Amino acid sequence: MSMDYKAKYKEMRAQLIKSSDLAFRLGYEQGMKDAQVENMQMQMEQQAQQMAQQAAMMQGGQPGQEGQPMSEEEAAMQEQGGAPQDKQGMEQAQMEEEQEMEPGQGTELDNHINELESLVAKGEKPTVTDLRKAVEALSNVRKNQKAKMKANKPAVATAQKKLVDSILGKWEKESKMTAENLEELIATEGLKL
Amino acid sequence: MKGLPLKIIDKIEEIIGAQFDEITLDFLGIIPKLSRNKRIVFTTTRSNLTSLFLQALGHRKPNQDEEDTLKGCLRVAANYIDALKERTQARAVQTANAYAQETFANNKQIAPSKIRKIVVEEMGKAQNHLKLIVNSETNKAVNTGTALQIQKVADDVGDKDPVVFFLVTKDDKTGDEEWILHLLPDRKTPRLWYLSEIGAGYHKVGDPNPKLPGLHPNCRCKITYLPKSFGFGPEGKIKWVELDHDEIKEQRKAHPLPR
Repeated sequence: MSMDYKAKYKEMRAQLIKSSDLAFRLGYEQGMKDAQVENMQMQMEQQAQQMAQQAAMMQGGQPGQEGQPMSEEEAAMQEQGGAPQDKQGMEQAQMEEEQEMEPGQGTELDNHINELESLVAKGEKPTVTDLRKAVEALSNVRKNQKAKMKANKPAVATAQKKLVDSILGKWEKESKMTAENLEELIATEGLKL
Repeated sequence: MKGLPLKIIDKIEEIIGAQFDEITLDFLGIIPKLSRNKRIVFTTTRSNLTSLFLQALGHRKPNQDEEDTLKGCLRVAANYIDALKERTQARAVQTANAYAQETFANNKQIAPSKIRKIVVEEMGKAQNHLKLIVNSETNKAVNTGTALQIQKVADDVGDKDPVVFFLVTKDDKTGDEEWILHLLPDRKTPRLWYLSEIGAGYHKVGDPNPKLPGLHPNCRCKITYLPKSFGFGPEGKIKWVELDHDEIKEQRKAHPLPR
């Protein structure tokens, strides 16, 4: 039973675009809300600064030094908010991303699809060679990492390790002596077999 | 069917038993069964399980609870070695006896060198098990002693449930469980636990919490105390943060428990 990989690919791509659109819309709405809150905060700060400036002027202070209000242009920009510009910029960025993403992904996927289609057309089963190679590559990476760690780490001899080594060393030494003595012991005990 | 004479069986058991007893005394520092009802005298001059425990306690005289804990650790270790001794004796005698029965059945003479070889082989098999016991029991004694000392220090500063972490030896032998339970996903910062969360039994792969005896038989991770106000820097190094800082709460918000 052959499978239509191209149709499958198109279906998955459509799902990807749909979910990207949804995520973008949700993100955009959240961004709008955040921008509104930010604008309100800035306006309140501006008002507070203006009030402080007026108070300072009443007291004969120098308004340019502290709490200087923003210029009209800056204020106008803040009042407009970054949202429309952000919206345009985000849409443009998304378009650019899509333009950049699709040819690369499409080519790679298309290559695999074409390869699979040609195999199916020939009546051959797709092999798992690539998968196996990937798994081997991963295990090699892990081995290399381990070898690297082994080479860089100096041996640490803790009191615990010294005790373990001494006990095992003694065990090994005495096992040999015991074995050597066994024949002798049997002879001295006069046990005739 | 004729087998080995009883005197030879006794001798094999005696030789194996004597070696195990000597190793047990060297390893434990005392024979716990002999001192069950006695106040025992400790020494830290020789390296053994008792001295490792006392070193972990900060070379101070243990109180009654700590002494009981130590005796419990020694009892468990001694029982494991006793069980291994009996199994080694049984296996050596069984193999030697089977050899004798087969030899006698063929009307041949038993070679003492063959019996010696059998005993050596069984001692060799026992060595791997002994290594396992010695490694895991020393780690358990050291971490238990350290945990008792941590508890004492924490009590002194009014910390009822001290925050602890494990110092991990990172090399090619570091196990997967250690990466999960003793470190955060960045593989540098130690994962924090309350002392009450640390288990005292032997760890099974997939368990949700670390254990005092370690996460596997050759585990080298050492339990350590993190006092309040201290935390970890980006490289996983301990640093003072601020007086009211509670690192474990911050850490668990960012990195919930793995299991």
